[in-house]
Amino acid sequence: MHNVVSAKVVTIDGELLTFGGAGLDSAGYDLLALLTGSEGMLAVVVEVVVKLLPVPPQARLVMAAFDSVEAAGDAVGRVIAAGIIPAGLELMDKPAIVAAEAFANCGYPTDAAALLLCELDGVEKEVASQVEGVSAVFSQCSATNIHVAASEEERLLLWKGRKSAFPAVGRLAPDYYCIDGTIPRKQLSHVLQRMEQMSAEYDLPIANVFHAGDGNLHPLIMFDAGKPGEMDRTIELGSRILQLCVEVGGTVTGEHGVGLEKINEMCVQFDSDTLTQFHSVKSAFDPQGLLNPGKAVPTLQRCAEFGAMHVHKGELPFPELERF
Amino acid sequence: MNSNDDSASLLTQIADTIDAKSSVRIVGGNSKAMLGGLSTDDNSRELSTLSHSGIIQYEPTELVVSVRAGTALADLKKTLSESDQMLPFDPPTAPASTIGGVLACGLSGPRRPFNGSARDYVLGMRIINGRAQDLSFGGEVMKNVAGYDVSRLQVSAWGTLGLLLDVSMKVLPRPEVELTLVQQAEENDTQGFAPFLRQPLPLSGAMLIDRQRYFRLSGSEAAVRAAASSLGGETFADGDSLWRSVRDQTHEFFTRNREQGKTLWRLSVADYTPALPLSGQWLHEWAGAQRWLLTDEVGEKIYQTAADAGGHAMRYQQCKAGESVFQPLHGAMLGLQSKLRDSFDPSRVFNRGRFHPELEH
Repeated sequence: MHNVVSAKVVTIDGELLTFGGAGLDSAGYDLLALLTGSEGMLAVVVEVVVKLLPVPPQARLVMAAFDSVEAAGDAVGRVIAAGIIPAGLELMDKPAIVAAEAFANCGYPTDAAALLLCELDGVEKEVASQVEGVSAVFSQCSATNIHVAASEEERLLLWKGRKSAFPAVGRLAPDYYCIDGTIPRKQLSHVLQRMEQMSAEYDLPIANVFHAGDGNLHPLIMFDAGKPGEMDRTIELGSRILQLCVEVGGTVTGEHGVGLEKINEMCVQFDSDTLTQFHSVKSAFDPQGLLNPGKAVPTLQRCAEFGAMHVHKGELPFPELERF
Repeated sequence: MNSNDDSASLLTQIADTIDAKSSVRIVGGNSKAMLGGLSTDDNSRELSTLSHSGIIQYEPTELVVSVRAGTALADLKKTLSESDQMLPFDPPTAPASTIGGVLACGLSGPRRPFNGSARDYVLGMRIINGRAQDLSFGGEVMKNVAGYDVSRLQVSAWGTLGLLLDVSMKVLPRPEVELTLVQQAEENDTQGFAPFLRQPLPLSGAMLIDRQRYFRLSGSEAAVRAAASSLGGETFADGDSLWRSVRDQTHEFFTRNREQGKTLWRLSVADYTPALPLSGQWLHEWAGAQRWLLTDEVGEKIYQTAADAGGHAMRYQQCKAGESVFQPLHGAMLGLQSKLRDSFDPSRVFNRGRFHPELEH
């Protein structure tokens, strides 16, 4: 959001318009804010101008191991409380650490219950003082191992493990399903515990990678699409994880978007008045619904049908709608 | 925390106004009464947000604060500073300002080009739309792409897309150290900022007043000291009050217009735009992206000049009947924005005439 300066779009009427402008704001409503993340529902973007930033002169990586996910989650909060905002702060649970290490051979401590990768960037002196600060916090939080990448090569190697976590998990099972939800960070251990229970209930293993700095969780459900019924069970488990994210005050999608996949979960996050307002916004741009029909925002009818399948504590969502 | 939820009464007042086919003028601390267009509804009534105030939730380690719209901005800032945190968009702050007013008008201060705008820090909002519905968008988490980003659309809509009730915002730690430097510059040398912007410096302010170019650096002591030596210039002793006075328009540049009878304009253009061909006195903020002009030039010429530069202009003081305040919208853009207003406020219950009166039709 910070970095999109303007977008040239074609409207459904065939008009070429520019949202945003040469400056830092523009006249009228902030259509650029509305357009960003709208999944092609409002107009066709044909050109964008983005802001560029100078590459930071230095980046350093601190890796810390913990014997519980709670301790790692707590350490993240304390780094922020210390006034340090890292450039990257990633958390992996044990299944993800083991999978990534087996794949990338990058030197992760595979006996750890949780691993934090914390990147700090900026000018040399600032980075040095932040590396010191972060390391001190990790040690106060009983990290079992704190390691600062000794060279640029090692920094890149340690990142390689994290970045290959998805394909690494892909080697452990024939298929995996990546979930994308955001939660308030303080809910992390509660959510991980609940997911562990669900994983047992559905008999499907889950590995977790977590953009800890911004609360964005990516559970990876491992399954075998070749086994009858396993795909359906996986999708149901994924949906329950997303509903859990909403329950603790989060969202069904942090960065991947809704598309068609999460259309049902949108009914859990938004009430019918709010969904109706979304549809009115859509109509202002595209009254006939020609752009990406059926995506991003569910119809109220769809929510009623989805709700009918998921009666929560005896209460029907959208009870005001007729059901077929 | 102390809080006063008056949303039920606000909802009733809006529903009654819709039934009466009338309109409301939304008012918080009334610190922005001189900004925006005149009401076009003689029978409109005032709707005060001051009864709906207080911090709902603030957890420093989550970097999120949720607050009711009628909360005094000064109170919110004080609470954040007690945890060494701040609103990173650095909003202009009058004694009576409310957070709702700041967001409705989309105002950001000197840190804006470096930290981001008011819009950028909004995570979620609860509003009442023009159908008297209580709606929530976004949330309290940093990353959220579910549904259209209606909460950020509300920022700088001047209350014409709904009454802001509650808002959640991202906050950041206050910088450890700040330092202001001043350099001699040519008059209106708007392009003198560029070489510094391309360097990875921890800038948090850049402006040009008369023949002086000011920079502010923020960060750790070591980083600020290192940046100061590569930036160059003299240390300016009372940086805090300088930036504050420009942000809040108590600086002599702004108070002058009242004495001289000139009109104050805000022009928003690309920072690298050369000096604009308009007569008057200039103060270039945001490294040249926000330009204040005290002038006798007529509105049409100012709007045209801003448009030619790819930007827009706004009359930044009390207007008289018949004067336009915002850069006029035209053609397909006007049609689209007007339909968007319809989608939130079909009967124009909110702030008729305050923002782009051409959207009312």
